[in-house]
Amino acid sequence: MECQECLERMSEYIDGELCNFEHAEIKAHLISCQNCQNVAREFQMLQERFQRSLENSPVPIELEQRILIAVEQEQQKVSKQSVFTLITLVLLGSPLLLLLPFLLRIVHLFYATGYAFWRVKTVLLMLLPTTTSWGIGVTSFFLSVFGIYMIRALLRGSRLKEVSL
Amino acid sequence: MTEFDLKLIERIRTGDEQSFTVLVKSYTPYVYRTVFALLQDRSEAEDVSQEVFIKIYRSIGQLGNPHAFHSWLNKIITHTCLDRLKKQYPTPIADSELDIVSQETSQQLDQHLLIRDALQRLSSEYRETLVLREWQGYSYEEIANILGVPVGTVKSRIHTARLQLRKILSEGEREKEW
Repeated sequence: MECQECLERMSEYIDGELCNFEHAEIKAHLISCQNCQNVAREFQMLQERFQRSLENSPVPIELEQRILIAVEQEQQKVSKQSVFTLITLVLLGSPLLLLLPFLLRIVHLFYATGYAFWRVKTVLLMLLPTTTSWGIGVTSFFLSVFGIYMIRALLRGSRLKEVSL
Repeated sequence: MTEFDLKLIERIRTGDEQSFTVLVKSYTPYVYRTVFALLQDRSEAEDVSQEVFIKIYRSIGQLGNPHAFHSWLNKIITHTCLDRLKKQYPTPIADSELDIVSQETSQQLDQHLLIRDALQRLSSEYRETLVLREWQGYSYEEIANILGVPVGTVKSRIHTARLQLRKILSEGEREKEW
């Protein structure tokens, strides 16, 4: 191995980022080359000095207190937000409660209509011949699938999807 | 991670406010030093340290495994600092420009100040890569993921940063001897 190659890969060697073969290759070169050995030692010393320097860098005395005050303010903010959320929910829920009988009436109307349709369909199927009944059944199935597909296509273009994401 | 730290995290997760105060007291030096190493600005480092603890307070409940606290904390610190750096330098710096090292004369300071001064003279890209490696102990691949650059770029940045640091330090030491 040439010195140039060894020096280029020195950082990876020091950081243990080389595969076993490359590591062994550089290690073997370092044994025979004093110059590269010096660079390796310098890099290692640099690492140590770097770490020691950061470990010894002074921390502002009042910082801890500042952080604790900020955390306390955050706690107060969170509890205030909880109260605000509760009030909002109550405010939004009250009109909903007032409208509940009306909403139930609509749901009931839907149910009654659906049930009436179901009855008509059952009677018709019983009266009609088997082939026609099957035809109506299959057509209804495909129409339902098509309906679902159309609703999805409509929703895809609307803002509703963006909100749900 | 010590048993004390693990118990502390567990207690914080159950909502013990006093334990969070203990956590702030134990981790402020580490958080501040890491942030300062990345930003090289004392007042910014203080603000960002505060921001880091607020983030910890808000999201410690989402930390699944208390054993992963250290790596989780390091991620918060790194991302908060990188966000701050992005705001400071909205335009990317070309690699050719990164090779330019400030030619100012080094001050007559002790060893620690000298290395801190040298670190300050590195460009932010080199500095952040070196700090992630030397101080936070991330692997090249992890650094590449954090910074969103190829592993090859991380390799060259770390190597060049070390060469520049070595050059600045030797110049500084020579001036100190005069």
